[in-house]
Amino acid sequence: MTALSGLASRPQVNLPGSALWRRVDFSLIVVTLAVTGFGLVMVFSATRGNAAIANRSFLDRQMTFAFVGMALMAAVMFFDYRRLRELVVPVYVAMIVVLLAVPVLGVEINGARAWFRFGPIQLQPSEFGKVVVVVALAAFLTIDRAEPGLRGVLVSLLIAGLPAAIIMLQPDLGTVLIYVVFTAAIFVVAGVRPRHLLLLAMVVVLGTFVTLSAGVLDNYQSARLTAFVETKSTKKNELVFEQQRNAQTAIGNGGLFGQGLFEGSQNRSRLVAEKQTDFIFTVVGEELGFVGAAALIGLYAFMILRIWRIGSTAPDLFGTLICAGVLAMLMFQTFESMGMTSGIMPITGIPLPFMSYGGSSILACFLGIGLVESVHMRRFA
Amino acid sequence: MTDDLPRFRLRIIGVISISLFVALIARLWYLQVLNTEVAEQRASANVFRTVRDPGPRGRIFDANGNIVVDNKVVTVVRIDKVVWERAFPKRKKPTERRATITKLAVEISRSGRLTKVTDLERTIDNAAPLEKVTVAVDVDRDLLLYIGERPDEFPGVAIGQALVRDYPYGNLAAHALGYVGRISGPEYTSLKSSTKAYGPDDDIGKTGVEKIFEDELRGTPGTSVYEVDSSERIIREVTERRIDPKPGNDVWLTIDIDLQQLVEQELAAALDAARLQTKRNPTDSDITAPAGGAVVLDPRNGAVRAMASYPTYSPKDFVGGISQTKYQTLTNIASFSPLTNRVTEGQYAPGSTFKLLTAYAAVDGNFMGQGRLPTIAAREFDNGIFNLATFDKCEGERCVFTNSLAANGKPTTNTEVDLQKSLTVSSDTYYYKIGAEIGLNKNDRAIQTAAERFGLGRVTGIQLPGEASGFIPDKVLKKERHDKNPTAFPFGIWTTGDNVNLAVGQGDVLVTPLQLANAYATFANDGHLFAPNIASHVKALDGRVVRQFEPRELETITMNEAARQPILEGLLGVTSYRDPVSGAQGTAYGAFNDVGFDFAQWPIAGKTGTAEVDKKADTALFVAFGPAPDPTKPNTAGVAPRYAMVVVLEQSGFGGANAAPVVANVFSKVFNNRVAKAYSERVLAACVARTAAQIAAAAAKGASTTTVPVGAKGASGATAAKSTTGPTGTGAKPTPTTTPPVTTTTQRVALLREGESCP
Repeated sequence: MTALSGLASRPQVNLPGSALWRRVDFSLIVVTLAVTGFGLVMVFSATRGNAAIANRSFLDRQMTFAFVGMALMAAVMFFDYRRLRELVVPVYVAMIVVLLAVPVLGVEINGARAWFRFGPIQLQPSEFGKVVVVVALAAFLTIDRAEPGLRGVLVSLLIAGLPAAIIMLQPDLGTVLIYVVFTAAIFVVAGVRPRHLLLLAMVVVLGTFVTLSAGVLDNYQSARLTAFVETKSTKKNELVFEQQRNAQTAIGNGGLFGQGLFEGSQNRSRLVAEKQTDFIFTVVGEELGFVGAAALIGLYAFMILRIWRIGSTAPDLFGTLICAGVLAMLMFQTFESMGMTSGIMPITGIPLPFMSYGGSSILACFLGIGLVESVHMRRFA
Repeated sequence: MTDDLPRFRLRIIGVISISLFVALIARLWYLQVLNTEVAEQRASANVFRTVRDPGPRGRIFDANGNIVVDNKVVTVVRIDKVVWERAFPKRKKPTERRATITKLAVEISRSGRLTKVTDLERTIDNAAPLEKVTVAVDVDRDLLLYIGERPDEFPGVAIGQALVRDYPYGNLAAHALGYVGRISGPEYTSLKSSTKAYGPDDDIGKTGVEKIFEDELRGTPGTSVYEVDSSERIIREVTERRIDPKPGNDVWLTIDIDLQQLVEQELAAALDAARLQTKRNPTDSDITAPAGGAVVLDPRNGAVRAMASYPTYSPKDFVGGISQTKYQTLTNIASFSPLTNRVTEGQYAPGSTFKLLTAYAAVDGNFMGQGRLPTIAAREFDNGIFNLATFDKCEGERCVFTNSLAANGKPTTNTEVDLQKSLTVSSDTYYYKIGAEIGLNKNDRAIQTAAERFGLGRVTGIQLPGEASGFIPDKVLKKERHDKNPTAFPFGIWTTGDNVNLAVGQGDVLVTPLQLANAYATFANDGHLFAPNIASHVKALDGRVVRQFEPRELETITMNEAARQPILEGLLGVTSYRDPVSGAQGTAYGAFNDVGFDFAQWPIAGKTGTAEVDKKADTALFVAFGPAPDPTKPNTAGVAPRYAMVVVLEQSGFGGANAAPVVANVFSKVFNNRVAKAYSERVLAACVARTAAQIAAAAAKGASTTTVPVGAKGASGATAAKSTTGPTGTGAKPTPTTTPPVTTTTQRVALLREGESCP
């Protein structure tokens, strides 16, 4: 670590596979798999239905994705992250093309045209886009050793903003917010000057205000964003308000120890919409109670702690920034998804990492962990 | 670049992360530990739906175990609220909703159950979300077909079954039993959270036994809890939270339904007969005989054996709701308020039946032989006229009182009247004197005191709601009443004349038939004043007796033997005394002689009463008990009277001629064990059908002489012409050869009611 050097000039140290294997952070793997397993059980609980024979179709699909995700993670781990520099430009370009193709070729689900359909599976390019943009930003900001100036910031904003703008048109506000958050995190860690950060923050706040008041957003979107601060149901936010209330009711109904796995009455009643995806945490809260929910939060906290630790011990700033991006991405998604179900954050469609039902999300998350592990395994290189 | 700067900045991200996790944990702690109550309530309201299952109401049995009030399963029209609300949401489709309700109301009305659109609408709107609302009960088949064939027109409207009250004996004992009706607003408010929680559409006992034993009869409703999903579809029943409904307890009455039938028939027949009388004077009020009451008590324990009130009503009319117009005719004074139980709620001047109490007061208070009164046994001529001025100065009030007027328009006279005879022949003058003497005495409340000791002037405490207390006037009460309402009661001073009136049961004194029967029963059983029981016990469904109603003795009067003996003998004479020389007879002699009553076996003590009512024909009363110990008949020594009976006929004339025959007929059948069995309407209908078949078969054969026999008497005879039973009790049963054949089913019903057995 101490002998950090320039980038491309330094000869690659190619350790034999067995030695590389020993440098894996197994605790991160274990906690990731633990959360994934936890998620599978909860997805099953949320989708098994009330019939005598439980519905396994969601579980089976999710399991398949989890296995694919693990394989993807393993592949990425053993791929030297530093070589991503060479790949990032074509991958980024390809991503932009794919994102642009979504409105034309994609399918619409829940009012957003964000998915490609390949036979039985749908993929959401914006999920993978998150990881690509993290790597792209990290790569761009570490081209030279200087801390980024205004120009660097603006180009970075362009790198992140272009896909975000396309996603905004789908429209998928939640995913855009994730882009905003991890970009900000990467900026902070990369050393963007405080005054630039302040300026950016002001732009974001202003932008938010303008979008909310100017009617750019659909009614339901602004209702979702504002419902959590309102105490009364209005005609405009009726459904959102109801959803938020039902989510909190379900979580509150869990109490300290929960109603018991598969025993959540609110879960069974299908009162909370999207409870297997973005609102999966309501099922955790209701069936496993405070104890179960806190344990889950503990797992996430440990995961975040490991990523942070890996970021701190990364062999170069590129690795550190990748870790910072992945950390911010997972952290924000976790906080937002749990926060919106428990009523401290506005409702935006954001999946809970490794837990929510959805292939793209789980693959993207495993990709992120794979990148982090890749950084970790090369910490002595 | 230094190595530490990015690490330091990354640490900022880390710190932010940790604080976010802390915020999440704190929020969860608030939601799941601190504030769970609201969530739990809301969660339960979100997904659990409670449906009430009514518990069947208990049945009512007569003393011999006949079911007199039952439950039956009927076809009802119900609306499934879930389907209904989905088809016609109130906010989105008010017009369609209203139109369908109107159509439904029209169809239900057409099937015979008049239903208002607004009522139907309210019923539907008020029902709980998951409930199946009953909108019509006991509908006929046409409606079932009509609705059954149109599921699209009437979404959620379905045909179902429900339990309703059934009355196997039709209208018999309707007043004692009472009826059941839909719970009223105030009743609901006070009862909805009772242990047997009521719903807004539940039935509740409104009168009679149904009301007073509501707590026993009512079934305990159960609840089924269903877990539903967000679109109110039932996921499952939460069986562990299910509470099965429990049927109510059965109430067993002291009433004997056979005797009840007899008493009701005789009461109605006596009123029918009374209407046929001609007035003695054109100036007399018309004898309209519109109403009356009769009650039979067991003096040994105060049990009510029969209780009849006329006109009567059909409790069946209340099943499934009664129409406003029908209810109005049942409560209307013009139709003589058929819902009123005249035995417990009717208040009448007792007339001469009150003399029991005056006589008892006179002897017990030691007035006889004192002052201007003769001794108990002294026989005096009764010239029929009493002048108060001979006792006291008489100013500003009525002074001359007379016996009732004979056919010649002059007061009747009686020879050789002592205390005993005064009762037998009902000499008013004898009692006017007693009234005046006591009124002038220091102990001027003696009559009232005697009346009160025998239970008059206060409710008897029978297990029936709405009992009237009667009225025994005295100095204080008269003043109170005047002070309260001087217009209606212009006089506030108690005069000697008031006491004279009271002595013969006139003036302001009022009693209910039940009080009068109870007073005589108290005399009959040597002074045990009971609160009458109409129910004997309450049984749970498993046959366990959960409540037993023992005789309730309110007071024991130490009978003054000096009073009891002459009074009893006087009362015995009322029914059986006839002087072979002079032809003088007890006031009810004719009535009992007409039925050839066997006094040798069953001496009857009785007293007639003919109470004057302002601007109306007299109230005819008769009260009797028996078998009584007759000192002239050694075989009856020490017998305890088993029956005490009162008959009161409004605007019907003389008590001896009109009311006494009812008792004579009833007692002669009771003591000869010839009370006809009361058939339930179902049995009756079957018999009638069989008779009709027989008639048809006979007609086909052309043989008119060998058909079903019929009794010699008419359908239900009036007062006379019923002496088919000789003194020996051998029934003169008609033989088939001497009687015309039964040709109509009405005749058959009449015969069955008279005691014919079903063919």
